[in-house]
Amino acid sequence: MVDAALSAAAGIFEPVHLLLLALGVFMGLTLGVIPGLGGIVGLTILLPFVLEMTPHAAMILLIGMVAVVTSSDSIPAVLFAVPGTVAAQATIMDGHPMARKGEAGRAFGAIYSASMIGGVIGALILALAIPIMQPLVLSVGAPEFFMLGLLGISMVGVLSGRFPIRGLMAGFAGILLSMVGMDPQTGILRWTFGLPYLWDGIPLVPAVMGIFGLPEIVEMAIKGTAISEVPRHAIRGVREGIRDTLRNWGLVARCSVVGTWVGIIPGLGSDVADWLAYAHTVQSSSGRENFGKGDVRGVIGPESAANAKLGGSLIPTIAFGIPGSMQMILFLGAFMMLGLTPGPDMLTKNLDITFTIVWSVAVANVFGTILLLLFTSQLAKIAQVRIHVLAPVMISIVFLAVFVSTNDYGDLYTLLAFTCLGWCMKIGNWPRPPLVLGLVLGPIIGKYLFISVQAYEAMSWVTRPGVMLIMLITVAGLLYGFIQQGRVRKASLT
Amino acid sequence: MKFGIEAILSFVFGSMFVFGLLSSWGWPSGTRFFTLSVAVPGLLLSLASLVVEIKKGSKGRETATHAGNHARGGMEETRRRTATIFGWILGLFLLIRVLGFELAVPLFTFLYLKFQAKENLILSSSITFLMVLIVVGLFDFVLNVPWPKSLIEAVMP
Repeated sequence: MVDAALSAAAGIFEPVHLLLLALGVFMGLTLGVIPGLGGIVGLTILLPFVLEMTPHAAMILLIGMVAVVTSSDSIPAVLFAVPGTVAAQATIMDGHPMARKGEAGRAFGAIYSASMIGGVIGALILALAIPIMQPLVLSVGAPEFFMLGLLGISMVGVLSGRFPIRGLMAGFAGILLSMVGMDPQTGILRWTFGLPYLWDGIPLVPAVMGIFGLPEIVEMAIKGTAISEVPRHAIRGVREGIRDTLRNWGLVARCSVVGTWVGIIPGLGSDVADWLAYAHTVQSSSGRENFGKGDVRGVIGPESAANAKLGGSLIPTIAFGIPGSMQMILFLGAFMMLGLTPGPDMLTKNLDITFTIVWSVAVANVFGTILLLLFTSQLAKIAQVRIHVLAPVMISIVFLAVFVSTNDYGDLYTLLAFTCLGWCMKIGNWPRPPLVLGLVLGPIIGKYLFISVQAYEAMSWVTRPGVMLIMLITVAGLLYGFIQQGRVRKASLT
Repeated sequence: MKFGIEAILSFVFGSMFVFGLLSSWGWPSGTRFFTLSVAVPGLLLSLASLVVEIKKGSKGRETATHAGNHARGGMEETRRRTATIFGWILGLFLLIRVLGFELAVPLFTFLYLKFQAKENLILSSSITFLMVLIVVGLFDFVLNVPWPKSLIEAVMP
């Protein structure tokens, strides 16, 4: 095993392979910056080209591209509150307020360093976990997954903003909205109003762009200033952001594990990793009232998780041939096209390729971070450009990104509807993250609730030790959240 | 009695939960169970929130003009600017439907920069050209995005 790891390491540093890795990284960084594009688009473009390559070269190129998309997707999230990909949704919560405070440079420093460490931790876990992961994944059942979903929504609901009731209600509203479309379990059409467009449910991209992206642009346009509200000389440095990440190494490590774990579980996307890590960051940190106002920990946690997720999602794909996401399905397609069979072969006969993948994840993250850090100071200056110059470009890109996601005009109507809702929530001081989290986790919660009810007699699944433990944590978290918010409000009134 | 946007949102979300409860009545139990387990607590929370908002009345109301707090020129100016930017967004949407993305995006960019932002012709044209490059170069040629027919294309042969 060590021999395979060492020979794969030597292979990746061959000039041709390094060049391919650089090409993949450059492409991934570019795709991440443009909202609406991402790893899936990149894989679709690259797949025809890798057919003629050796499996090692193909894996290096593909992994190089995919590994860094979740690093650069935070650039539009921080600057414009428009996530480059779904994996940068939670980064908006504190990243954008940081940019408005003139701390875009610090936010980028923290994000890139956290992303790099998260990516490397994900790769490390991938290397260590493959032989032992199967029994672990199988030990957690549907009831526990259902409860984990509820835990995530209740934590974000209670801890976002000053009004826990509003947060929880927004979370429940998000789940309710996620039910629109065909019930995957029974085939019943729920609230589609005769529109085939709604059969697949409310698409996430226009909903998120409407709830977060356009309302932020609207607010900036109303104020008529630059994104950053402080003068250029007050932009704080990238180094401080890197130091923030290193100071919060425990948070980075924990959120990386969260991200890897979410990646391992099939069906949970990057957005889930991002939000669960954000919920964990808020829950486990002191000074919670600062979250949502530009707390650097609010970007460190989600970004570590987002990059660590790739390592996790590769585990079931490589070890069991179970792709957990659309991206991994395309990856599996690449495996098949290259004549590789996921499963035991990847741990024996093709172990060198598995380790090439591991090394590619780690090296691509480091390489991508170096590139991003080199250009961060320039990127942060975008925040100083007058909003009237940026607004038409940003609004157009939001419309393009939304349309490209499904090529349906219906997405534009969804965008406008959610922009109205997002704007009303913004001016009414309603927390928006729980609504988005409800939309993201709703289908997963519904699926696991259905399985739990069907698979266990009566409500016996509720008595499973894992379920009871998570339930206890949820209730304790809710109580703690309400008490804390009450104290904060009382203190602010006096 | 005048209600703030907070109470209105509580009412809107509450109505959603009521609608969810009522419309799920005839569904199979497997589908209805999930709806009920979300809509019932959601409705209770909405009622609690409504009571809190009504009790609070206009006295302790959180500001309904979050953006207005920062805008220069007071409430009237804020309202005017809000209407203007939403008008532009709606305008882009209509342009896209009528002309299609390839024409609408550059046209919107140029019009906004020239007439709303009052930028000079060189900057307006440069940024418009950048948008043409993005739409035609990236989305059209590289990504081969299949643009659907605009209303004008549908009408004209």
